[in-house]
Amino acid sequence: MSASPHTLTPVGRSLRLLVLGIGAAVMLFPYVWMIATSFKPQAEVFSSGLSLIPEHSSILANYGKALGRIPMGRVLLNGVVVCLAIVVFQIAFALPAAYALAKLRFRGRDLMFGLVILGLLIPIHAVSIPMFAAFRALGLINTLAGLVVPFTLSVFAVFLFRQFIKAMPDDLIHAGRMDGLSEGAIVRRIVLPNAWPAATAFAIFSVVTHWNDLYWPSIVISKTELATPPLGVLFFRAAEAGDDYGALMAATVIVTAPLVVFFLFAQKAFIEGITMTGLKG
Amino acid sequence: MSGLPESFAAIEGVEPARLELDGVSKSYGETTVLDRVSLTVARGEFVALVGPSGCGKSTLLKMVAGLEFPDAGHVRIAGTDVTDVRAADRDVAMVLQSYALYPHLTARQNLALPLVMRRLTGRQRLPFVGRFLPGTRAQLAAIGADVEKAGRALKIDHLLDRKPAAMSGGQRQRVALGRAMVRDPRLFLMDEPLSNLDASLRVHTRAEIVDLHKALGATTVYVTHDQEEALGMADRVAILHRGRLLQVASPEIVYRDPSRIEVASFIGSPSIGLIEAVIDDRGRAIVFDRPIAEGFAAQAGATVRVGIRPEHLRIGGHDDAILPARLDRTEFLGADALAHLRLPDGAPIVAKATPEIYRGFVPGPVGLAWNAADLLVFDAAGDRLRPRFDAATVTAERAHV
Amino acid sequence: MSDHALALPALPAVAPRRRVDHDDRAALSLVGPIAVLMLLLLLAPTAAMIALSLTDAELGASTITFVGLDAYRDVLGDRTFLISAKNTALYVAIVTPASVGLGLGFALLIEAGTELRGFFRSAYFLPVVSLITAMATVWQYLMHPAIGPINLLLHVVGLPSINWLGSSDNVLGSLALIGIWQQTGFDMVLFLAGLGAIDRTLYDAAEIDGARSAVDRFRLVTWPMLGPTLLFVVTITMINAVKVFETVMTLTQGGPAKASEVLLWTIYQEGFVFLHLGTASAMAVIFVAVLLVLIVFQTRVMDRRVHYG
Ligand SMILES: Nc1ncnc2c1ncn2[C@@H]1O[C@H](COP(=O)(O)OP(=O)(O)O)[C@@H](O)[C@H]1O
Ligand SMILES: [Mg+2]
Repeated sequence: MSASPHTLTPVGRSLRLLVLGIGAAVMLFPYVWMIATSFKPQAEVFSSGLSLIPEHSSILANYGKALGRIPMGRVLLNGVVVCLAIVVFQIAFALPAAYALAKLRFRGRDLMFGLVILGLLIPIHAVSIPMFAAFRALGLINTLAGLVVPFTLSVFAVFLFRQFIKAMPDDLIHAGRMDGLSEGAIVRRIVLPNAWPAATAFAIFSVVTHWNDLYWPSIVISKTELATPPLGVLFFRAAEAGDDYGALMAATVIVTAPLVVFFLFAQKAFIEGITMTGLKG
Repeated sequence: MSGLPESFAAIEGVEPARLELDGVSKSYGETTVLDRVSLTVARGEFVALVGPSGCGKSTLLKMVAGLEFPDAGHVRIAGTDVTDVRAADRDVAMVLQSYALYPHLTARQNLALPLVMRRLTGRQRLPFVGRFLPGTRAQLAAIGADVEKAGRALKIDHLLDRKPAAMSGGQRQRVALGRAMVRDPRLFLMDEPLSNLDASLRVHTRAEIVDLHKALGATTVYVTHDQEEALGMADRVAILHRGRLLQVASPEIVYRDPSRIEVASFIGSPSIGLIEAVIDDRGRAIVFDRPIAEGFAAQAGATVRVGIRPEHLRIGGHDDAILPARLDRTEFLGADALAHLRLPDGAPIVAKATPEIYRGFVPGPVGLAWNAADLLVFDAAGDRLRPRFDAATVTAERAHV
Repeated sequence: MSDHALALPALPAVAPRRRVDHDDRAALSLVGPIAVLMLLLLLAPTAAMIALSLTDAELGASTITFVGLDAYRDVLGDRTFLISAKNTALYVAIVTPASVGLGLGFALLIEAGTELRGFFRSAYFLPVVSLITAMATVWQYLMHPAIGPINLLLHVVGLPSINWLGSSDNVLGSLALIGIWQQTGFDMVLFLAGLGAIDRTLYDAAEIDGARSAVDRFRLVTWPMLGPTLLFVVTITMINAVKVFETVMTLTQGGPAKASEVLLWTIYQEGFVFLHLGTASAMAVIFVAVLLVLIVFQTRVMDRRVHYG
């Protein structure tokens, strides 16, 4: 495309790079400081001004504190377990329902779909008050189950999968029926493999959402060993009463890294996933 | 701007332009899409650019329009070299294959847009304030009148206030045609404008485009993959194959006197039958040990391909047969009928005649015959081999007198 | 030749096979589980929320009295809630145009060239996948009045220090800055998708019609074709902004002097700190009503103006 009429002039090219470069610098600024500060001893955090490179490295001390003061490994594990449990339940419940809504005609279908739309409009934040009261009565406070149960239902997943499955050719389903598959087997053998892109996109969206969520965990969890990563940061900060920014930044690096590294390895899937769920939602 | 006048459309009665392509080449990475294409289209001429899908027709047309630029070669319009001039400055009208109507604008606004872009200055086109500048109102009124006129000419005046989404495929096609026509173009480009229409509408619109060309007199390059369309509409047909221009000639000549085997295969429906033969030491083409044509200067032992059009293939008894064959079945098509045959080696070949001729034919052994003058013979490289007494050329020349 | 094929009389339409009974049974096993979940996790809590909002329920209190719409009257007269609503509106009013505008600008710039596309896209998107609570903590350090790098930078270029999070005048703006930083990359990738979906041939048509400059192409094709995406991005950005919570909880806890009190934080405090379930539910109902208005605004009012179908 060497001579496309829409190619930028050299000035335009430089300007583009300049503006985008400044923007990228602002976007990445917190990460640079987070990492740099996590290497610095406390004294240097207060004295070194704008220097990014520490004179005396305090990596071991900072990361040691970050891992030791609260059980950071446990916190990350909690995050992984909770996110995986949520996403597996969400897809397992949503996919068959989405298939039924997309391809079957049954009594109550419109009512069901209406409920899905209603669910899209009501955020967890709103119903958290009665749910909290119920969970207290059921003894689900301060349990990992308490973190997972409210999110096993994702009306958004139902909606997204329904749109996706609706676009699949009916003949695909008919062929499955002709081959003698039950409706359940059709979901597993035909719908799931073909809805894989939607499932991946939704899984990424769901993991990003629940890995980040602070609202519900802060209601349900008050014990450090049950903390999810966002709560872990808050608990760590509370335990580390002083201004030990080196250790605090080390802790933030530790909880931020997993998803960011995952993102850097699967950028395309992440961006497509967020775009697809974003645009359909 | 290569010294082009600000707007050709503003001049009354625009002269149709001559178009010259001179050794135009284009590659995308490794793939060569166009290979040294040279073509001259005379003022007011209607040339159909035809070839199988993916042969580079759209790419060539976009280079004429200024939407793509050649790696090598020159494009001249009305004698001016416009090779590096972009589309907006070439004053060329084009109907894109997908029509590319602006979905947010009504038909009227779609038609007016090219005129607005050319007749109004940048400042006059500013939103809100533009219309209060001197001259804007008069220009807009003139544009409105021109749009109405084009709408009436294309019989879409009742659609002018609809958006494309509220139109049928055929109506959109007319609006796209109108958007190109309203500018009184000196050069009119169309990229498969009928390919999205259903069969009956296609035949109808074909005639209308020919009439339109007669009325406007604009130089026209018409791209199609449908050889029937090309033969039926154009003054001359240019056959593009894998990025190379094989032959440019009148519909008659490309049909009767193709210069390359690809042209012979592409033009004509059903396709020409091709039989492989070997030249013997007396200059005769031999198939299954029988001479089927003679008078070739090719070397003895050379392989050639002998082409025969379905309508030239006669099915008869065994006595006057040149080749034996098997009749598989006949196919009734209304005015015509086809006979599906097999040569002794099993290769299929098709004959065409009126249904009366094939009436009563039953599958089984038959004999094939033809007039030697009707054969089209090609060498191993695909170039046309002519017998020393070139009957085909004589016929074609007579047809031109 | 096939053009002349005889028009066959249309076949009588075959009545669709009645499979309703079969589908009913199959559907029950497919949608049954999620129907139960909906009842337990959606309908019952929603009903309970509305019911609670009509009472004076408090966690731990032994009696519950029906107070009708009194809770709403109290909430709407409550100074904290009004400040909270005002702050949230202001936050949305800053974050939405800024992150939508920046997201669109960056998307257009990224699309305009080929160099470093992937790098820029990832750099801007990084905040979307970063733990908000953790990054808020980083921002807290960056915005530290004495040792924070931002103030140090301001000092270097000779500008006075700013008390980013500690002053009631600045705190909402500072939170909005963080919000914009978080949201811009998200909006950008949605715009990139929208730009990618624009029919390229429209640009060809515009060029042929005489559009010479990038501005002409933008006005003629990009902007109108981006309409649905823009509307959608604005709506989703507003909804995300209305739900601001993590940064407030991590950085300011609504302070100083209620200057960063926002709706979700106020509901959270009322319900889970003060345990006033009745009042908190009334607030939650109002919160949902605000979200509904935003969504209805998207689907009803503006939808018609940007979809050309
Ligand atoms: N922008 C492009 N980049 C790479 N290949 C292209 C591009 N445009 C066209 N081609 C290739 O060039 C060939 C010719 O395309 P085109 O001119 O559209 O063919 P036609 O219009 O005859 O069907 C095709 O093989 C196509 O894949
Ligand atoms: Mg084409």
